[in-house]
Amino acid sequence: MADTQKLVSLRTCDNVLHKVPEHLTLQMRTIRNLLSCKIFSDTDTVIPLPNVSSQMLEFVIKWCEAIGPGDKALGSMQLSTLLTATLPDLEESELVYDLMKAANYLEIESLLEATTQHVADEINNCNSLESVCELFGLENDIGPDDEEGEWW
Amino acid sequence: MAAHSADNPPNERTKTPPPLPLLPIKETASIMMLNNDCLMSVFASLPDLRTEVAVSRVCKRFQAVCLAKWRYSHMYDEFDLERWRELLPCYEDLCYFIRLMQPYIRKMNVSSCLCTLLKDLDEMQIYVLPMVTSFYYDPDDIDCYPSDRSIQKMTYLLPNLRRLRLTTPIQGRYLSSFKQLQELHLYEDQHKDYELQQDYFDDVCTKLVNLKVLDIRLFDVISKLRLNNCVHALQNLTILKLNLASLKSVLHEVLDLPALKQLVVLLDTEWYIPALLNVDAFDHKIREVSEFYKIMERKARQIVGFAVDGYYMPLEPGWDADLPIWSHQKLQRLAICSWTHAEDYLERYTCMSNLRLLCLRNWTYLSDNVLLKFIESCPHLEHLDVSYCRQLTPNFVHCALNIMKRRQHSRFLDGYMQRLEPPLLIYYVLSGFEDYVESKKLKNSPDYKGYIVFMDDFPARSERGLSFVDRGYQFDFD
Repeated sequence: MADTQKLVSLRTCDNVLHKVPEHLTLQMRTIRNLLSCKIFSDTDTVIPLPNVSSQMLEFVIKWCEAIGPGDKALGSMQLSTLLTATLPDLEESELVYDLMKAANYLEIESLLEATTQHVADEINNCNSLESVCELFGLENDIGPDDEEGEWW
Repeated sequence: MAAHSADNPPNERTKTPPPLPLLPIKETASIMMLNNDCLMSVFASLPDLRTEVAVSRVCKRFQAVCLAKWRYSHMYDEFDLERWRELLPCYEDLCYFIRLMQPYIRKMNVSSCLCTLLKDLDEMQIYVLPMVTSFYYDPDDIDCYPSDRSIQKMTYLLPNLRRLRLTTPIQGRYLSSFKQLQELHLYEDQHKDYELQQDYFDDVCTKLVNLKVLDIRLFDVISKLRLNNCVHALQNLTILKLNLASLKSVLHEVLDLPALKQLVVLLDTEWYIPALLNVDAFDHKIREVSEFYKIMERKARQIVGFAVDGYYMPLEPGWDADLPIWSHQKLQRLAICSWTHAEDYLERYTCMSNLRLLCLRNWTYLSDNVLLKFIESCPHLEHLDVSYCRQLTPNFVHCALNIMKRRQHSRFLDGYMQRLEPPLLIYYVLSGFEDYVESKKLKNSPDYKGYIVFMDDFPARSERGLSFVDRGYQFDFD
């Protein structure tokens, strides 16, 4: 079965070549669009992914396997559960952001929604401006003059 | 961090710095590695505006992304203080949000007291909304008339206003200070205690050189406004709506306005009645039609549309037999409403094969046959308003569909592969076939798709109610 499976070659930014089953790559709109171009329709052609690391691609593939074909719309609870299964260390915010960036670049709606909702939930749990600043490790740099829209 | 000297007090924000986070530098900056698309997606998942405002106050970049989200969603293009108060119960948040959105608000629809609103904006230190081009004031409390002072404040607040509509009475002072104004709408089909003062009105006409639309109709008393002093200044006016009393003395000058495309005349509810008139013979209909015929004669070559309210205009059967429009046949819009005579005379209009809009609202004796002749003869018909025509039957709908399908088929045979004509929009409220359309669910019927669309409302740019034009007539010129 696996032998007959069509594979697509993806090269991540850390120069690792991944052979990914085509049905999984079809869940990534960016890849799907590229495959519909003649130049990439040949399976021997390697598609470069300059914005996705090898580690992230593995998470992405796990996600695509879990969610199944069609990048179907799921409820936020289901997405949250799936995200926990895909990315065990959700406390590591940098990983979540990297995964979000990969989802954004590869145009995987469900993964983008799951990761953004995760961060939005974290913001929601804050009860003050200070705690949001603390959550992201940011310092408030807004002066009184910045509290007006820009004029032109 | 350098210590602050005693005579050089530290900035409030840096005076008591929050404890430095015990995180590596890379970690503190990690969310900043997200691009704006990702940040926008995160903020789009926040539950409400209150949280978005809180997040936007974290740092300049979050603020810029939130602002972009608010702007490009177009949800806040229209200033709506009541709703925004509900969304942002904290006054400080509300002020912050309005100050940020200040340069991007485009419209204002105000239903609360104008005076109070202007005071609120003053308190928030909002002195100008430069992008607002449209202002509509229709207060829930109908006694909230705008004072001269309020209008004056508005001229500072909205320096680029293009379109102003007020449903309340207004004296008119300071209206001419809206230098960019292009449309002034003052009509409302209800009683008004007073109308514009003549000298302020003259000012409006002479000083607002960009004025294109002027609606000064007064609903229930004889209008005292006159255009004699200012009609010459209305060189860019394209749409004029006024009472017959205001038109009478300047009819020729109005018809000579170079840009005029539409003239709408409201018949005044009262008129001079000779003292010797027998009260038993008094007819509440307005017997003033001479201007109507004069316009017909003078502008026949340019008339592409006209509308009359048959209830108020004492037109008799055959009134239109000798109109000078017949030789030109340029009519694209025709509306004869509330007609109680026989339909025989209607058939002559089927020669107007360029008709786009036909409105026969509230006809007592309108039958399927005459209407079908229009469907047959006017292939460009896009709007058919037969609301309140109770004598029409479901048979009309069937036959109209068949005619349109047959026409399409012959086009196909002539080599046209696609249907080029837009579908016919039928306005059918309280018509004889309304129940049939509803019960057979014809609105969603695939059989009718692309041919006929059933509409609940009235055609755009027509007045509501029993007539296409309120209690009067309308002319469109090319």
